[in-house]
Amino acid sequence: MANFPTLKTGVVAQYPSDRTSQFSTQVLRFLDGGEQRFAGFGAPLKRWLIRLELLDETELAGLEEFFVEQGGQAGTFGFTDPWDGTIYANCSFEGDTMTADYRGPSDGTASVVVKENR
Amino acid sequence: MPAFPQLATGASALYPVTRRNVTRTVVNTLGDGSTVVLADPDAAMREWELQASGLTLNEWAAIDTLFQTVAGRFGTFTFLDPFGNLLLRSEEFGDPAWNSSPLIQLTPGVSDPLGTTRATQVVNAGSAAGAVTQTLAVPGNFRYTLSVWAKTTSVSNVTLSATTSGGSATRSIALTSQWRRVLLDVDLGLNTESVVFGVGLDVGAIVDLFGMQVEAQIGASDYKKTESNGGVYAQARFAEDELTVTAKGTDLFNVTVRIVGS
Repeated sequence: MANFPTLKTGVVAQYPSDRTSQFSTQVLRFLDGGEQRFAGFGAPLKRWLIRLELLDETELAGLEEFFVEQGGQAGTFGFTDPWDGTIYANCSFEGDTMTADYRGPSDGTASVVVKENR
Repeated sequence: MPAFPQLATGASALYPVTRRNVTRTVVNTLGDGSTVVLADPDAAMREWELQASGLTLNEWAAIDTLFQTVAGRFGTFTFLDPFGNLLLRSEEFGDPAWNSSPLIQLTPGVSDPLGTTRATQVVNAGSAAGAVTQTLAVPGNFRYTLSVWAKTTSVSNVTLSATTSGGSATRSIALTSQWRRVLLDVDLGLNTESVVFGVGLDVGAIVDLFGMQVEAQIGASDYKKTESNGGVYAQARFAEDELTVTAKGTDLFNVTVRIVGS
């Protein structure tokens, strides 16, 4: 199992960094104001928005290579939550497109969304 | 095969450059959040947006000539990724992408300058000089830089080389026991369609190699590891049928070019 690549400093994310926990609840509301709720997910799914700036070409090209190796959202990999260090063994990219901006020497930027799979 | 031209300085592109990686996946999301995923690897493509400002007339004319030759999006040309390592399998010298002389012995899994164990020990056990080479389908009249990390535990040299029909460039470098990134600037100036890049070893030489890289520019940039995809796109196309140039002054042109390759 591949793991999400780290930067040269050993970290996977920079500030600002977003983490989302998602549930899926179906809500049925009745005429008398009552309602029934059904939990679609047994446990929440996590999603991380990774924004990266001031990357050198090795770091940025390495992330691109990893994205291509995974086939976009088709592949699965291990991801270490930068917020608490928890390792999520079954994660994917959320989309099929990754854009890398090479603005100048050691001035590369990219952002990707990593999601937890069930 | 036509090729996207280099600038007069030998550079492939000017900052900023945007590179977009596009894949295609069919995803069926079920009620509990689980997914059924089907990959479509043949649909993968890469797109570059080159924002070239301050081009000279000759540089702009070379791009425009290519655009006319391939008729916009219709025809294909060779594009060398300005941020890519042109070699395949840049750390796997035993892969079929590489050619080794018969008695060259390769031992992967050696410690490398990045603190991992992705380097390869190369021993020339033959009675003649040997080499590890890779042939690239790239123009012989471009500028290139070949780079590789090397060290030796004995007293050995390496000879970096770039060879095409009718010419070659070589440089012999004495190694020490410390990792060192050695370079070869290549300017063959020959109108050919392939170049062989490699590292040569003298008889009995024992050398550790890591991370070979070829770039279509003068000077080596940060190392980029490659797998099955190198930076040579032989079937690239312009992404648009229009190409607009802005003349900012005498011999001063700005143009944005979008190119796709797969």
